[in-house]
Amino acid sequence: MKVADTDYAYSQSKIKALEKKLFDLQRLVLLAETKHIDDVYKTLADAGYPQHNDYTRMLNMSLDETYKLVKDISPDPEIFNVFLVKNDYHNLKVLIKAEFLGINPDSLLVSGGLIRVDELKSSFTNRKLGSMPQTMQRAVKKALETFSVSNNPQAAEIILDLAMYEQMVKMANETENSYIIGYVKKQIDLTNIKTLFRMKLQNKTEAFAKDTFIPNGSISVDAFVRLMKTSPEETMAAIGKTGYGYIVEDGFDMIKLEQKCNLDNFAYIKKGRGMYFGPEPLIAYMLSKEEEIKQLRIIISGKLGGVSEKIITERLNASYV
Amino acid sequence: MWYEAIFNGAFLAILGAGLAVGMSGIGSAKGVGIVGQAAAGLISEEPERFGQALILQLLPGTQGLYGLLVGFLMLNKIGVLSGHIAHLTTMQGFMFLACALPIAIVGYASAIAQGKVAANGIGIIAKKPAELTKGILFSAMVETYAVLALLASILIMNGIAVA
Repeated sequence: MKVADTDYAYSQSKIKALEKKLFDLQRLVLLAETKHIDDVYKTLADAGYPQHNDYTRMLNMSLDETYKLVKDISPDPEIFNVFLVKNDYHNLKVLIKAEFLGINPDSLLVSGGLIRVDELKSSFTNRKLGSMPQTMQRAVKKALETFSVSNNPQAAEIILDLAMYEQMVKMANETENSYIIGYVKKQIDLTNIKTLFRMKLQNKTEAFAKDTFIPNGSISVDAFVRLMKTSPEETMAAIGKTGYGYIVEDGFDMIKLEQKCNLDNFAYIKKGRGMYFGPEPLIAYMLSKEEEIKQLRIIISGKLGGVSEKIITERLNASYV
Repeated sequence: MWYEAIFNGAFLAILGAGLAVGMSGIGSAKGVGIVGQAAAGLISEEPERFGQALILQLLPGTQGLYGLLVGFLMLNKIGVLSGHIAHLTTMQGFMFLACALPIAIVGYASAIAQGKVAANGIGIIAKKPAELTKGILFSAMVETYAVLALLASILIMNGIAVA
């Protein structure tokens, strides 16, 4: 049965109350400027983060709580699957690499996917892929074959990324929600733009590029392949006409490109916060929390690694709004 | 015959009163229900906002009262309340039925619309509690049309002569 937009009344106002607790740029900068790491943990505890000695574990726990919360209060929890499937593919990449390198993958696996971590690990290890969706099964088999022949982790990653986006597009279209469909298209566009610039810097061939770009974005794969032959100026001009001009205005500076992609993505996410009646505010909250946790990882790991406050703050300013 | 009962003037007038009360009541129940869900979401995080949320929840309830008022006046005019039902012609019955339609239709639709606006008002106080008045005002704008429909129903009713 189709869920009416007004069925989101409860979850929408709960999320509006929770949105106030999200860290804005100013609060994150203050956190980055905090002298002692213990004070950072104290601020996070006050903001509702679970307490744990290991900050990675603490942030993962918070992310899991967020996924659980939005699914629990949503009248249509299935709608979030499109955003969670990425965790399964992340785990598969980790499992493949770990197997070939002969290392224990446990510390790198993340929960929050559609398949439980232990189940996914067991299916992969025993090569019993039947419980996985068809797209995922095919991708895992192909990635394993490719990796065993070429021993190139990048090739396996590309295969899994293509399958992930194929699954995300299918799931997004099934929701018939323009915000979700638009989000997935944006992820594909931004990934393809970054891939284009990276491959041009590495002088990759067009044939390689054709198999690497992800289809179903708002810019076609053929258009990206054509841009492999053009000069940097022509490439930037062509991207400029697509509405992503702002992202590529710094040329082939990959750090700035990455930061601007992040800003563009976050601006899209925040649009959902202003919407009423429907799943958009919940999705926007969940994705905003993911972004917040991503920035907190940078702050905490930076502080523990002795990175200066100035450098951390610069990174925050460049990629968070 | 059954159609004689349907075209009975008193039956048509009572049907009108029923529609005025019923339709606007359903609209208000839906409107109050939508705001109630939104209010529950806010209260689950901030119980101290109960008073503010309750004000917003009450707003779409007025259409039900307007419908009841029109229904009550109609029943009084045709003598149902006193127990002496007036003899009404079929035409008079249809006139009473027609006079119920403004508040029945507008009351139903405006209560739901007002419920949605008030639910968004809950979103306003969730983020900025000091802005409750603005949430109330946005919701009150919808009320205007329910009041106009109430007025239309009462004016039409006053124009129907009953012997």
